[in-house]
Amino acid sequence: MIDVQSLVEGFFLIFTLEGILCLLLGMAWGIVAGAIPGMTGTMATIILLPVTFSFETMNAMIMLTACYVGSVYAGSITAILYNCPGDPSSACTAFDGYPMAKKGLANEAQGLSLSASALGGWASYVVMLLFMKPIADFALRFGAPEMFMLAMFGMAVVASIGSDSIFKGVLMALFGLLLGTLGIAPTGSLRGTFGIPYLMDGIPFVSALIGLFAFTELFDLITREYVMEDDHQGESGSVLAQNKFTVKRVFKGMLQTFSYRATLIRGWLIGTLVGALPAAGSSVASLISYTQSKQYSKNGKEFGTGHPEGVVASESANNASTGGAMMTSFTIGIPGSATTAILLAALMMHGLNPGPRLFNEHMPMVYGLTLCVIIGNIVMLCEGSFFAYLFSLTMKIRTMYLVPIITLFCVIGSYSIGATLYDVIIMICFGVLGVLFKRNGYPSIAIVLGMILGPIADGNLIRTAMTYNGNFSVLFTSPICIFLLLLALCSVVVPLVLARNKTISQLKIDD
Amino acid sequence: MLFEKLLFPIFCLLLVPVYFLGTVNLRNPAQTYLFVKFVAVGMVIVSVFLIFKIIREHRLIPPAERQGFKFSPLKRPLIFLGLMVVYLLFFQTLGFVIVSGIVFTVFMKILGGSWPRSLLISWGLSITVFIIFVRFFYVTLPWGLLKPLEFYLY
Repeated sequence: MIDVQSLVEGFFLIFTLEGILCLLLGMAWGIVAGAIPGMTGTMATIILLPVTFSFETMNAMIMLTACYVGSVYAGSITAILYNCPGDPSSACTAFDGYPMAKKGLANEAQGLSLSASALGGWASYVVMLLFMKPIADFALRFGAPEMFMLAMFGMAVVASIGSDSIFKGVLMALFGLLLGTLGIAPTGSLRGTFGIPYLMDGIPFVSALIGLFAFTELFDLITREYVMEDDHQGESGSVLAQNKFTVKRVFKGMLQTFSYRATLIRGWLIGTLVGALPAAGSSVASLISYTQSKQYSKNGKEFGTGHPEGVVASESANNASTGGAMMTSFTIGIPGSATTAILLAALMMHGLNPGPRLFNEHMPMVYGLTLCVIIGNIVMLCEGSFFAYLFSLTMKIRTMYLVPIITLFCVIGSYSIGATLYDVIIMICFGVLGVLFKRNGYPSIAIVLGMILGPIADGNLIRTAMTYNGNFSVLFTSPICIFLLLLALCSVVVPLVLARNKTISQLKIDD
Repeated sequence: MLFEKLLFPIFCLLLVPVYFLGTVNLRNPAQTYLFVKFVAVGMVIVSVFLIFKIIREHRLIPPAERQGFKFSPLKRPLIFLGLMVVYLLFFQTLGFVIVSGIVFTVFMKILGGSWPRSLLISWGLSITVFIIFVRFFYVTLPWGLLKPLEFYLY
């Protein structure tokens, strides 16, 4: 299951002075940025992207991956202290973490969150370590029809998960697919360029990503005076007074995590599985784990009142999802979340092509990265405690100072791709589009996935047409294709049926 | 607002013919448009469906409960967007440091920041970020009017 030689090579790849420094700094930045409400983990990773352009591929990936892992945990710090999740994936942590803080148990909650995150993360990376090779080997059997169907399956999942309305998700996914086809087609012809030379390479993916996920958030941030709303500022004072930071109590919380082994394992399993689904991300994993634990735990009724198990359920799942998301990203090239899409973009910028071949051609690197996140979780325990202490001291940041800082990084990140103003214009246009999408419940992640999967689907459909002389029946006769097609149909139909049932039962309740 | 909700499906509906009118070339191989046609047909169907769905949902809301257009929540975002347009216009000619310094000073001042703090943060930030990225991370950023100083940084 594991290629031991590559694993050892990977180990030596990360154990360099630069590698360790990148891990420490990436993790620190991820925790700081992830803890600030309004700055998501995706935004933290995007800001770091231009910094890593000049780095060696391995060091760049270590830094970005560490940032990703750190940011997913860090959202819980402010969720517990101020009821203001730094990252959407920690929203469920606030349900019990903040009531715990109000009871004067903030330190214990921080300890629970830290150890549940680390344990959930570790377990999912072990799964990643064990299953990457079999998945990648299996993916190598995929021909053009199977790859096309895999892309379609990815799109179907994306469309069904990311939105309150499945049709909005489908439209966004199609829009992303269409954008992904701009530029030079696999046949060598030009499509959708309107004679504009900049469009020959298609829409710059990183600029679109920065626009949709970082620049869009600025429009939201700017409507507030402070990073955190006034009511939380008011409450935080009293919470801080009750919860003076002590390492002993944090450690006590860490040990308490082991009392909820079933919840921990449930969170890990849900997190790893949901994380592996395209675009599902840590927020969905955390929500499912929390609701499932509430349903099946004997303490379920106490969830939401400040029960430690609620924190464990949410935090173990959201960090476990990072392992699942990275597993599918590095083995089949389909990102499990917006942040892993950035990791893939970083790989592309360093000249590597994400997809089934990436793992087999760069096995030591991928194993090295997995080892890096396993070690990163130990680093997270130390750095997390330190930053939890710092964040407990103050969190009063005015948005008028934060917005220009993030804007500068967005501009640098997009401009540095091609050193043209066109990239910055694209970033701003997508930022404005992102605001429109956010206000009206359209899932932006579907566009990103569409832009990644569009060229894959397009190229493989053309290849299928050429290989089978225009006969597409192979798409419905190959066993793998049929399996993927059924999965795709299920992922679209099941949410529709569930939504319909939910509406019917709601109507019955109303009657 | 109904118009805002309909904006994206209508945009998608218009995008499809524009995309094809602007790009179809009969000399291209047939496969060039194979996948695009598949996506375009899907987009038209879903857009039309969404338009009808949004209108139907809108009609179910009593007129008194319908949200009208309010300008005040958009004031700050529009100021920011306006300044970003100015930023883009002068980005190449003035250069990264100068345009960032000016635009962000104005931005902070409009939002109620004090002059010394706005000047210090925006110019300090622009210069520091520029030096770090250009000198240490080898990122190409426009020098603009500061081009004569390029020699001193390397």
